[in-house]
Amino acid sequence: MELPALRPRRLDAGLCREPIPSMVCRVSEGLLGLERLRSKLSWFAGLIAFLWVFVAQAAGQDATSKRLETIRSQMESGQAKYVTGDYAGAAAIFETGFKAHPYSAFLFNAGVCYQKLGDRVQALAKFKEYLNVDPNAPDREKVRARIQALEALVPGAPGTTPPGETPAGEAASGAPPSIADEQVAMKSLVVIETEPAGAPLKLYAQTTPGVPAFRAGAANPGWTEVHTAVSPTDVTLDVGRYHVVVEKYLDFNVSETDIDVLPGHVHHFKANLSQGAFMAFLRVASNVRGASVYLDDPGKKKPAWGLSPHGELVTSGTHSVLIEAPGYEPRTVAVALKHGEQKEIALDLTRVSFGYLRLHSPRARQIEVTVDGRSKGSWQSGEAPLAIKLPSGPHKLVVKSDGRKTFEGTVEVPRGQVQPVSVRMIPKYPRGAAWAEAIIAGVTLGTGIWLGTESDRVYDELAADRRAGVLTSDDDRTTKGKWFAIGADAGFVLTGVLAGLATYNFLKDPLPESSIQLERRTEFDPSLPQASRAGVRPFASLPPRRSAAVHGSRGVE
Amino acid sequence: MIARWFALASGSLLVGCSWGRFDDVTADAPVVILDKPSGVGAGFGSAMTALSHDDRGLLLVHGTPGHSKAALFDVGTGSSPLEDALSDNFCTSETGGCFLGSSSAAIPLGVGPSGKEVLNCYALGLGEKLDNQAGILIECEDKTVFTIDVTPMLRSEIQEGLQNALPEIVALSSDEREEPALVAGFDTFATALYYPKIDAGFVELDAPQTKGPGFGRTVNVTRVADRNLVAVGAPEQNSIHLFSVEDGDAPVPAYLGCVRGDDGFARTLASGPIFEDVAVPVLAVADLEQVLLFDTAELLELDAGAESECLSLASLPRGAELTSVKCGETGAVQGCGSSDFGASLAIGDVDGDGDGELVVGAPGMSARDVSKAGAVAYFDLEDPADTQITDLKFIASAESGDRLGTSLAMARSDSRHVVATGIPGSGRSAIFYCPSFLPARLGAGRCD
Repeated sequence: MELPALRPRRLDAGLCREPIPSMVCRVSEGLLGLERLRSKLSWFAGLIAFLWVFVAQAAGQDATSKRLETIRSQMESGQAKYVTGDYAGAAAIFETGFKAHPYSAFLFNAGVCYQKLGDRVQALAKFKEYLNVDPNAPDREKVRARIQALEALVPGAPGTTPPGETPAGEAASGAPPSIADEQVAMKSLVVIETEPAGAPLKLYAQTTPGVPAFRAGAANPGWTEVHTAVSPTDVTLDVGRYHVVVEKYLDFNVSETDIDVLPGHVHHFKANLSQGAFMAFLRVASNVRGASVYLDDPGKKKPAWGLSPHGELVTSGTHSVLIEAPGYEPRTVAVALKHGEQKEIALDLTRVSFGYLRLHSPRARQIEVTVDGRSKGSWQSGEAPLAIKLPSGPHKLVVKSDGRKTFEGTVEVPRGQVQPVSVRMIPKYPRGAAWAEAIIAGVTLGTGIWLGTESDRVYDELAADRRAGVLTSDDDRTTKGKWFAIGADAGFVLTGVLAGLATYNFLKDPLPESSIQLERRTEFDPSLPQASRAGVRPFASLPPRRSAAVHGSRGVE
Repeated sequence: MIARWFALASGSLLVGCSWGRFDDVTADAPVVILDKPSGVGAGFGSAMTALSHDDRGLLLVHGTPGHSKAALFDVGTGSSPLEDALSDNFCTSETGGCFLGSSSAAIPLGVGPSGKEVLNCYALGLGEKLDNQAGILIECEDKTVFTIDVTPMLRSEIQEGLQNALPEIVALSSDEREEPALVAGFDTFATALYYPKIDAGFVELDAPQTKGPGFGRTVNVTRVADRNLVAVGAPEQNSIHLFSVEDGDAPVPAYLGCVRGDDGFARTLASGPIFEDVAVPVLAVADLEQVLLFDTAELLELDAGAESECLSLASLPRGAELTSVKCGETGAVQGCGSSDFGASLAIGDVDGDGDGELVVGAPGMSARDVSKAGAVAYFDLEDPADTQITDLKFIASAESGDRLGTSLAMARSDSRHVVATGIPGSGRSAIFYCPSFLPARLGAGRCD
């Protein structure tokens, strides 16, 4: 994969048409003006100005990078459709791309697509527009020939090739032209920059396959100069091998490199003249979009190099790439780059082995939280949610609150994410009646037992008296004992009824149990405890999420 | 802990459920209470007399002597008496007037004034009946009422008493025969009359040298061989007068003499067989402290009628006084000092062993700390040397002042006697079925 991320230098009129170094130069000129006013202005104004320049440069780099990324994406999308035979789709993409970013390569490629569709009129129009937009195109003669061939097929008026007719310049076999076909292959956009800008450069195309490599100052048979310009420049090129030579400029020496142009691509080359060599291009991708990438900064002492996917020209040599994202294990790799090499590395991140529960309760004034049998603290209404750091996996969660039903359940702690938990604490069902019934039942039970005991005592006395032969038939203890017995039975029956009622009222609970609602998981944020260890970067740098708003939180581990 | 409470509660529930067990435990209770019928006034249970005839037992329970009436109960032939009175209108004044005696005499069989045979009658007091003269009032189960003659002086006194509502009290006793002899004592007049039969006229028991005030307060007649031994008590003089009466329609009582004892001697009299080795009945005589038992055969051999003074107990012939019994206490029954031991006496075969047991009333005793609840003492005496109380009965439902044991009677119940006793303090009477020494074969039902 050698898809370079581009840093455009030729931009449309609506945007800055100057390369960033030029911008820096212009700002630097501004700074010189400020130097002249230094005697009159305070050092504070100078500082403000310096910061403005710094911020403007950073913003310009970001905007340019994003723009070129868009161009590259459109170019490659059109190319992909073309390869699959979706010429109409490819033409539409190229047309759209040109409207947004008026590079001539889009026009040529669109013309080729129309030609493949048999729409010679549109093809002619695009090829002609291509020459209008880029009259000094290296392949202008070939394009004119192509236009003439097409005009011959459309005498007098625009027309279309009858079905089954092979357009001029296309392969006689009638089969779809191969990607390598020079006449029909997609053109690519090549952007060449130098540091500093303004250096003269020449671009040579290898016209004869197999010839020796281009050497500056030599005869170089098989090589043809196709483009002369001052950096920065962009040029639309056919597929093939090219050689760019940045000639001696100011105090800088000559720099040169080979360029292999692929169909339908955007190639970006930048020469650091102070080093006397072209730089390499490094693109870092990851399974985590927006991960922070640090280049040669293991201590993260500087701002991140970029957010994945991020590509940029870098000096050749071995670089240390540190990539991290909230909730993921940081990863560091070493990357070796040669001059002019374009390399993309994909660094997959794995989630950390822990996560957070972030608890709050919309109903309870205070909750006590226990996880796996260990108290994890409390949360009160009005406070930030209680964040609890836990190993990922299932955990037994117990939440208690005065006057409310205790929640007990299992909650899954995600790896490297925050699981917001809204605890719905349901008030306990009033048990006053049940307690009253239970107490009365206890009293009646006690009374029943006492009466039963008394009944037994009386009976025992009567039985003893009977055995002693002194019991009379009218002994009034009989009546008393009966009433004791009846009272005892009544007490037991009443106890049973009350106990049943009490049991029922103890068990009766029309209210639902306390429950938890697992909200959409969120990524780690700076409010979490030990967020730095968890790889959490400042809140503002987090990529936007679809989930609910991220809350601040109090944390425990 | 919970299990114990559960077990206790369960047990209590099971036990408590059976309130019917109280009916079971009091069903066929060992003591049957006879409540005072509404027709009887105060003093119900002051005296009582049992009658048995044709295996049927009756019990006449007196109210206050001279003032109240008596009620007749059917003790039944088994162990289930009728607790409701057959009649509560004995000794009524509706047909002429009656003064209930201090004791009554059972007359199972007799001949009435018109020669009509009468059954199950009681000589129960003094009175007059329609066209009969005033005399000893006899009332039968079938409500036949008549009087038997007394001396003119007594008749006059009775009539005067009836007219003036000044009761005259008579003490009555009969022997054990079906058609018994009768003895009546008029202590107010120091007179005692003997009737060989109720239709045979009377002879006066005269002891001119020694009789004094109170003579006739208590009387007893018992059959000894072919004659009767009549005892007429004079408690005020602590003496007893003995007579021997031969059978016949016009017998001539022979005065045997007078015996003087300790204070209250002769205040209560009873007779009947007690000792296996003494073939004749025993005369039981109570004083204020004890009950003395005399051999009636030996008494019949007395020849002290001509003596001007009563014989002392010590001067009695050897063997005449068999033994004496005294009050005793148990854990439940206390208070011999004020027991009034001997207030009533009865002799009967309460354990069905063929010989009799002495039962002594002690209405002043405390039962289970209930003062003057009263008790009755059983003496199942095998020989004269045996003087220990065999059983001491009271009623578990006693109330203070019941004075159980004020009166006693031996009512026939199947092959044995049951002890009936008056509880005048609460207007009740009780029948004790289950002495502790009762053989199990006789106690089935009530005495299990």
